[in-house]
Amino acid sequence: MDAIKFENVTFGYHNQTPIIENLNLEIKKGKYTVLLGHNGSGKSTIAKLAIGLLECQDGNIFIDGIELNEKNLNQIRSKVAIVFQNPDNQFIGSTVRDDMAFGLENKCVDPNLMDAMIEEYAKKVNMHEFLDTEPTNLSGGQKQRVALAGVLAMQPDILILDEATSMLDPIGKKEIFDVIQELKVKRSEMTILSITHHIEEALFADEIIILNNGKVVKVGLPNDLLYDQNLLNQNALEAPFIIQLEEKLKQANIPFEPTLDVKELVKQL
Amino acid sequence: MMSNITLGRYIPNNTFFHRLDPRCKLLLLFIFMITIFINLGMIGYIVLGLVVLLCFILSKISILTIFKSLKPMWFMMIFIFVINLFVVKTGTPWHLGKITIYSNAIFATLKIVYRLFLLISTSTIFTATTKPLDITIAIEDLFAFLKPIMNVHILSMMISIALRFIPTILEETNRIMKAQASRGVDFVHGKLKEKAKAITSLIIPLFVSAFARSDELANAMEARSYNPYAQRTRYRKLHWQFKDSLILILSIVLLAGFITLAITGFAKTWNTSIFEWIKGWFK
Repeated sequence: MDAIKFENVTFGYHNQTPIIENLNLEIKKGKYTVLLGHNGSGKSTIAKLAIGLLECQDGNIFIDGIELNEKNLNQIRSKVAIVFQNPDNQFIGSTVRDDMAFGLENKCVDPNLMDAMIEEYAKKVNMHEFLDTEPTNLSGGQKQRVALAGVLAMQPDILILDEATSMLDPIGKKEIFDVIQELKVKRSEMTILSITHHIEEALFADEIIILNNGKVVKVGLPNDLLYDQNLLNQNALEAPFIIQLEEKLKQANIPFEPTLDVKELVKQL
Repeated sequence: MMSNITLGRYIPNNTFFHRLDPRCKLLLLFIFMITIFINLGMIGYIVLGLVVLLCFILSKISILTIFKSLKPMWFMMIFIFVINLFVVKTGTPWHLGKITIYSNAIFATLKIVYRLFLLISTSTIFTATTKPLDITIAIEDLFAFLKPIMNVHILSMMISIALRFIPTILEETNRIMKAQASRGVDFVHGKLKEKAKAITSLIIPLFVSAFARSDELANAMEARSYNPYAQRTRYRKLHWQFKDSLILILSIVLLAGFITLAITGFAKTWNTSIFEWIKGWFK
């Protein structure tokens, strides 16, 4: 069974020409999938459709085999969590603690259990020292980690990251990326869907889906897709640094085993 | 720009007032407001002033903060005085050249200003010793009796989000101002009309971004399964203690006392003849 499944989904804002037309998409359960696409390829729309913030005009969306409709919206939302792009606009509480509690309050968690849960999940994203800090005194990366902790505390089956790192500086990006890597290792039963145009995130994906103009162009493994220069160029994507480096090495006739791990490559050289 | 705002700002500390239950403090504020607008007479006002002074000492707010928060009052005071000069024509007339000033005009002004002063000081004490979040929770709790008519939770959620976004929007304002200034907009110089024109170049982008922000925020809240009409639990709990009851009872007694005095007319004798009273001192 797929964690998220789109069947012939069509969507357009205000009856304009559809952004997404007859889209078929399958996100495998328990995997770390990266949805790649340049700006305006309909990536974020897919995220909003999957969590029921937007309603598709045609087709069906299934979450864990349940068809998404108005009646089971609450059920779906308890399964799917999402971290959005802008760190400021998803910080609801007046302190880190309150923001993390917000989701728990909505899930009707017993307030006496909340403190322990907040501590636990704040530790996971390394924010446990900032529990009583106000959002103004946090960096973008820190706020985004709080957002991540907030949705993780709700214990979702599916985690969607909608350009969660695109507004962050390199350090903030790395912090978030490290947390996601760790999640991937520790909680293998959770499906993670990362929607991004930041190709480096795709290096360690279990599966990559390349999207262009609201259509799935190609589905495959990082090893197959990321070396395909033509495919990336056609979809306005740039190969990750390590692959660009390997191309240069090839041209310079330096022998090496192709790898996606930077450390591994450094060791070889 | 941000540092100018003293009115209504929380000052972190751990005084007696900080530790009082926010619900108790909100009720005290209500009681105080009612008391201020009862015609108390001289002694009543002095007692009330002493109570406020005591509150200030207990809350350890610096005198400077109070004076800063009273800044907007100077204009009010002059305005009220000028109005009173034309309206009040009782009391002893004093002739200053061609103008005649009546003594009661001055006393009426002083009385209003004194009341305003007490009002602003108490509100300052309240907001300086209570976290914004606690205020919203207190409002939600105290107005819980309105639940059958309206959703009090929505109100308190709106207030807390508004408070949460004040610093964010201020930051945004600063950024837009800088961006527009770098494009040649002058916010400081020029006539009022030119300034007003310059301000539109600030306000319009600010509104556009605020709307975009609220849209995203609504999405984020909804995605975290927020539903204001659904059952939800609450993380923050307030703790009503014995001292809260004690303080509340004391102030209710004080209020009752003042009301009795006002009704029995005891206060009136003091009030109508403040001038006589002062004159009496000099006899």
